[in-house]
Amino acid sequence: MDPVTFFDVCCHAFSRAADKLPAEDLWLQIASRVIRLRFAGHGLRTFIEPCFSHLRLTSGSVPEFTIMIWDYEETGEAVPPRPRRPEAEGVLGRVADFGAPRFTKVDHDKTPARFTYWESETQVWMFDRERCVAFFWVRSVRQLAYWDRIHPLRRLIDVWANIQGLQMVHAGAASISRGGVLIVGPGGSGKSTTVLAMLSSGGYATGDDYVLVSGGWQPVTYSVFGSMRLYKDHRARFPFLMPHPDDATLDDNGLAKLTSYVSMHRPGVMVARLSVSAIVMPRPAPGRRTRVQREGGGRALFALAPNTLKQFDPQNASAFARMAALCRALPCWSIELGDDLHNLPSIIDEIIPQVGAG
Amino acid sequence: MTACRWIIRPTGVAHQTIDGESVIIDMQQGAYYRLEGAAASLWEQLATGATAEQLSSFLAARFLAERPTLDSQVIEFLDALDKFNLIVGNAPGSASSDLAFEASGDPLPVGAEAKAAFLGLDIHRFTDLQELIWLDPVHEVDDTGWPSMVRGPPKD
Repeated sequence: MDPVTFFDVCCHAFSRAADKLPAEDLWLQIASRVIRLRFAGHGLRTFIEPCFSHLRLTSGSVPEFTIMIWDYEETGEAVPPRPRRPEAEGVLGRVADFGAPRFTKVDHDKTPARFTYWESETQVWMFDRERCVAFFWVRSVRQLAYWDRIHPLRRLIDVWANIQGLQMVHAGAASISRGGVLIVGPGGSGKSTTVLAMLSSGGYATGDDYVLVSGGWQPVTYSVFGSMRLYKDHRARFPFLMPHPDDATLDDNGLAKLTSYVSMHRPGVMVARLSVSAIVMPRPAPGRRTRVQREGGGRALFALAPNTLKQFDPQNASAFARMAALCRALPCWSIELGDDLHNLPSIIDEIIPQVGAG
Repeated sequence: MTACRWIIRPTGVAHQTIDGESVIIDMQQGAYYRLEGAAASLWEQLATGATAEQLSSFLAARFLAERPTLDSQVIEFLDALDKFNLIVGNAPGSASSDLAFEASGDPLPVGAEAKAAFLGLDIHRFTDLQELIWLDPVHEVDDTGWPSMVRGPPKD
């Protein structure tokens, strides 16, 4: 079975699922493009819809990207095993007959693959770049990993966004009065804390962990998720942003992390689009005062690129180049997050070189 | 080592140098590297190719250090980059080995007092991307395909 036939067989499986449990559409606008999520069954929608509530369109028109979403447990419809030819199985997860490495981006090669395919024990997804149609299937909603509940469809959206000239980055973006900043750094560095501090001072954000970024002389971030994964300490410091946790999980170190659908609790604080005029790299500095220091773009690239590649595609040289262009274009600053977090928004506001709020 | 003309491996190595700091990613192996200061300056020279002697002279013109110290550190630096498979060497006499060396980057400082302190040629190496590339779920299914998982230890 060739990839085209395989994809069509999977689409038929969704159609059968939708016959049993009528499909419900959720229309979104991400990066000014219309996206349609088609659900067969309610289980997955329960987790996915709240994460996109701030980007919801009340009615749909012609979608620029459609994702069919269903699970086996609720619908009884599975995707078939991917046809396998041992000679097509290359190194580093490359599957020749599907034309792509496991984490494929379409611009890896001069002749981009039509399909991007992902499989694990509990889920399968596949993207057809020719038709801008994808499916996302899981065995059971109960097996949905915490990262898929908080930032669902993340890799799939990134693959589609690459075609649009956008790059998903592991970063937050927020603004105060003078404009926006891209907030970069590994997990635990203070990206969410910085975003929440700015929101609590009347600011806006497009995300605290993942945003889409366009290039150019005035980079723009686009929101994808209105959900945040936070520590208990965040709730204590910023209670108005999270009146109650919407979900709770443990992080890799066994610490409790809370999911908050911030865009539902505080409508309006999560915006669809935000221009950014600087890059900031927070790091915790307990017991000290909050302060900033100018840094080179290479330092920002080191804070941004490996973490992003790790989460999306460790072998995507084009994504690396796009992030480097971003770090060249914008002034970069490190921020020590001290005990006086209330001063953080005004400190950030002072380093923004020009008005650029989107 | 000393007579070879060294150049950044033309395929599989993505690298960017911004404001005196280089970030290098080995796309095939998944390791990534950070170079600062003199090390980042040398990396920029390796983009167009250079011999150890040319690199040592490049440093001697810009940094305060004894030439024998620079010579030995450049050799160690190239040796490490070669071991990490980030550079390739062209033997003396080959066409590419005879290309003229033209230093890139900041202009040459004037006078010894304008030279910068030489703080070594450290290579910071990280392998957490490597672990992700080597952890390959596609290859954890058995020969009948998904969703039949391999039982026992994963394949190499």
